[in-house]
Amino acid sequence: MSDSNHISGADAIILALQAEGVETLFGYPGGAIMPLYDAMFRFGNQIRHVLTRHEQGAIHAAQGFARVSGKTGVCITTSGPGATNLLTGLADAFADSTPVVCITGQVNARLIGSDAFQEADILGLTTPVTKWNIRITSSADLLQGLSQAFYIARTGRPGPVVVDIAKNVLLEKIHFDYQICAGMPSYHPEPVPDDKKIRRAADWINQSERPILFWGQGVLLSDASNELRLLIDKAGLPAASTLLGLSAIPADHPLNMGMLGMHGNYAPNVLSAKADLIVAVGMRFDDRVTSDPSTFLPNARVIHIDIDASEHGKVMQPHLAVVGDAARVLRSLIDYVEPALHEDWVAEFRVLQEMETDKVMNSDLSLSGEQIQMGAIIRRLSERFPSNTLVVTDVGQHQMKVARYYKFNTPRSMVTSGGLGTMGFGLPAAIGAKIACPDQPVLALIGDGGFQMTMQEIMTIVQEKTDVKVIVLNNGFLGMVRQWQELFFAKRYASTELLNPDFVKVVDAMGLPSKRISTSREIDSGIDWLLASNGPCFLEVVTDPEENVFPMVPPGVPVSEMWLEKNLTLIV
Amino acid sequence: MKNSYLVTVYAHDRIGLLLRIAQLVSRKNLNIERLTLHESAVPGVTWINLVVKTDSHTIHTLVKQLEKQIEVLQAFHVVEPVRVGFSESEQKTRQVIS
Repeated sequence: MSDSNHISGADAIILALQAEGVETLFGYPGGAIMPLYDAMFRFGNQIRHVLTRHEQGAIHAAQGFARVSGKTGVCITTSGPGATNLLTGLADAFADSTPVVCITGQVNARLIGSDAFQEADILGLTTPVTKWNIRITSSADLLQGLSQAFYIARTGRPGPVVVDIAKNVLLEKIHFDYQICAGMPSYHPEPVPDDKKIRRAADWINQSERPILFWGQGVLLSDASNELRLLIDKAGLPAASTLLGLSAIPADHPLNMGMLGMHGNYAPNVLSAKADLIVAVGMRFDDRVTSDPSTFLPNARVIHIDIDASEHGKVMQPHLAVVGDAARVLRSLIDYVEPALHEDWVAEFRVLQEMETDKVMNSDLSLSGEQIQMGAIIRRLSERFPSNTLVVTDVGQHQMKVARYYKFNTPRSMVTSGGLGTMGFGLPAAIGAKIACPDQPVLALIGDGGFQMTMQEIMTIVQEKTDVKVIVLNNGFLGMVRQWQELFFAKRYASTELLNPDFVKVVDAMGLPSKRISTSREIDSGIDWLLASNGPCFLEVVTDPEENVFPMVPPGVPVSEMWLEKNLTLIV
Repeated sequence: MKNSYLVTVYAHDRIGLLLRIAQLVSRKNLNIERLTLHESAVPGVTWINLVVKTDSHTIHTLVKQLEKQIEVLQAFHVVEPVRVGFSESEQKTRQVIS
């Protein structure tokens, strides 16, 4: 640590970031934060700064960086509009427990509250969407505030933290004695799990005849993929993932029954109603998983393992709540459970899996029709790209198709906006993912609607030479909303049809090699082109405009009554 | 069934603390009926009392979420009015923070 006496607040922030091991910043400069940018420049850009084209792009990139690497993403913006543009990303990171530290400029302390130029109450605005936030108006509080911000963002259940720093603090001289935060008196991020409860959980697992394990992103956040795999192998537990838990266990693992929820797989959804025991690990019973919670899991005892005690009983009242880190609890459980197979129970999953293959997957994955089916190209990408490929999606139909048909094999290889469902997330998040893992291929799969929300970030890719393969699945509609209009609003397509630009020309003009394919025959040549491209490139895939995502749990319907196809009798 | 609940929060005081607590209450679509706030026996630790009308499930989730906040040392609730001396958990807190 530096013992240099009395440096400017801005210089101190750079040194503090280095002490925290930060190598990359995502940001956008402006008036109130200029001294910090000047310090970056004077330090010879020792920390890489990625200039995005919008602050929302900066925070989504920081999220993508954090999600694939497990490190804290750092984002820097100016005051006022610079900081308000972060709100969507903060809410997204809060919903998806992503460790992000945002340093926002603020007007000079003596001007705070005076409606100064580019002043906004960032402490007030970000409170509902942050794990923690702090406004620093005096240089005496700067270093402690920063070290606590990094500590809080990465520990326990991770989340976004905002450090709002008044401009005078950046200019004032301080003594640099930065110390990495090792704990705070009122914050206990790693609760010790109760061994008695873990033993009872193991007893219940041993007694159970029809158990299912549900896992969520908590497994990835605590690096518990191996423990999870050992547990389900030993106890013979069929297991199903939430959207954000995908990739923790290889897709082809025989006990991986796929995804839960509205567009998840048929077998785990239907059989959840028959299960006598649910072991839920690092997941929060989102309404997209449970549908109506009063109809969810009618016959099961529920064991809920989560590091965040406030999740226990929030949606589902568990019969046994274990507070603790997933890896730690699972390690104990592995020791206590007895080997089992549950062959008859697993066979019931196989029957339903075959039904889903017959009624949904065969046509979804068909390469024989003229028009491209989203699922078909996604499955081909999955087969042809290396198994360590990082896949980043946007939000909508293509996201569900990726979740269903891309076969994830490596933990943290899937990045998507789950809880908040933020359109526009995909492209900037893919940039962050590639910067965090430069040696792994990165695919950004995005719909035509979401792409147009943040497509300016193509220029960030060009400027930073970030090797992201961008694939836009263009069906000319806001597809997921159109699907609901088809099913529940008698095909009244209110404001869902898009007049799109010529994406290939636009992206080409921005400086990326671009190509369009529009028939099933061209899928393989399109993928050949992606694989052969050195550096970033853009592929537009024109798909069937009225493709739907099935199976589906319609709103209010119990998950066990999931539809495999359009149910005409129930449609308005 | 709705009850009047008295929620007590002990927390390290700083700018934005009350905002964060009030926001958690309004996020649950609840109104704060009464609010008192003052420094506790321990300097820097604020004692906040607030009264909300809600059901037992909501109050449990609210108190857990209050307790999860970084500055909060302890949060608990009782059905109003049960204010004779100190509750067991309050006594425990007094021991912890003093």
